[in-house]
Amino acid sequence: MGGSRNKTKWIMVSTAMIALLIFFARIGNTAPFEDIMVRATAPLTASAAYAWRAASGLGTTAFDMKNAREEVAVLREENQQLQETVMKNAELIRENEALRAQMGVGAARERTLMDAKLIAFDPLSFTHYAVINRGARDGVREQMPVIMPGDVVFGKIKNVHETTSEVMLITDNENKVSGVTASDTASGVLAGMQGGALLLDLIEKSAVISPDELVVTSGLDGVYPRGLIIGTIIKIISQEKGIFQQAHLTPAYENTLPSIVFIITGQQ
Amino acid sequence: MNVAIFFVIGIAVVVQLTAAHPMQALGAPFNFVLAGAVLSGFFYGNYRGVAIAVFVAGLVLDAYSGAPYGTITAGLLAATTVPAVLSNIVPREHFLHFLFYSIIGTLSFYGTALITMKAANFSFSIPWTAAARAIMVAIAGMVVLYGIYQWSILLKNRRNGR
Repeated sequence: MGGSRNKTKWIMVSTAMIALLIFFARIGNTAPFEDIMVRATAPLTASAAYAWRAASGLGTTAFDMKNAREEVAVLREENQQLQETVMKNAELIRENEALRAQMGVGAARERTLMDAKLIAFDPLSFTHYAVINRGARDGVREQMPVIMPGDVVFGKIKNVHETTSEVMLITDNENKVSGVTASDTASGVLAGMQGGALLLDLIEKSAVISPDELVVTSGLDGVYPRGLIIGTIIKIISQEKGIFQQAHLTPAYENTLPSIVFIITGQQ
Repeated sequence: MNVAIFFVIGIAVVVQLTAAHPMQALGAPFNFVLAGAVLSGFFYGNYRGVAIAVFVAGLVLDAYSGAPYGTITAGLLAATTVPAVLSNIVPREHFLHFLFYSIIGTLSFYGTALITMKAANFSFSIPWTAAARAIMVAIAGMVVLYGIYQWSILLKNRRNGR
């Protein structure tokens, strides 16, 4: 009897709490409380993330030892080829600078980057966020683009806390990015699709696009600078009646979850 | 209050935030905290204790999520409360009891989370396909964990000659 009454009381309290939480979610303005929770738990999460990364790294290393010799031979050959490319590129850079000077065009824009480590991923699968170990104290501000090594777009800063920040990943449904194909033949607006893929929408019907083509940022959205790698086209959707085409993309960062990312803090 | 419940849920929170992301099936990462909440409720039966543990866990997880604050907490509370209320429909001895419990728990979690997201932003369109995938992955994962648990008991009993 008493147990049943206790159970009823508990059910009523739980239901009231759920209703209250829905009400607070509707009102919003929970940032200060969220900030306290992140500050209190970020050291533990960061330590766990580093430990997990180290442990998974050890496992991978042990697993990869078998193929190490073959890989060393391949890498040596690649290294030689890359050295030759570097030499050629250095020559091209000098030539480019000389031409810019002759034509009176300023030097190419240089980015100011700040490195950051990932400490947590979004626990809910409907929103795509990650938390990094840089915050307002380090000069991070909302809307700053976040990239991976190799100029690959990772996302943009959405919420800034004192010591940490939330990054809205490029695969999030709410993250709209202006993109253009690497050949500059087609442009459109990108947004995340469920399942981790991307949708390039509003492509002109007459524009020429093909599968496996690389899509980069166009710089028109005012958030991401031009030329950052977004992903590769895997499927094209073109309907007879519509005035636009669509394309599905695989994001470039998909299979290589980074431990270090870079925040673009400024462009000179 | 059982300390073990807090320990299980606490570990699940850390794993969910750091290691769960690459562990995806059908494009959805496995929800360790939901599994921890449902399994703790099922095995310990101390629903109030589980509810307090998942409430704290939800507040932490919400701080790291892009969803409106309270979404995960509300979902986890529902995942603890609803199956506890409905669990008497299928007798505890019946082999389908756990499956029923985990299905109700998972549906309650995702249902409440989506309602909270919709309430916070009315223009939010419910991602039905992603939700269905996440639900399937969660239930399958819980059934696998339950199977491993039962199998370990069977092995232990055999070793003891029972």
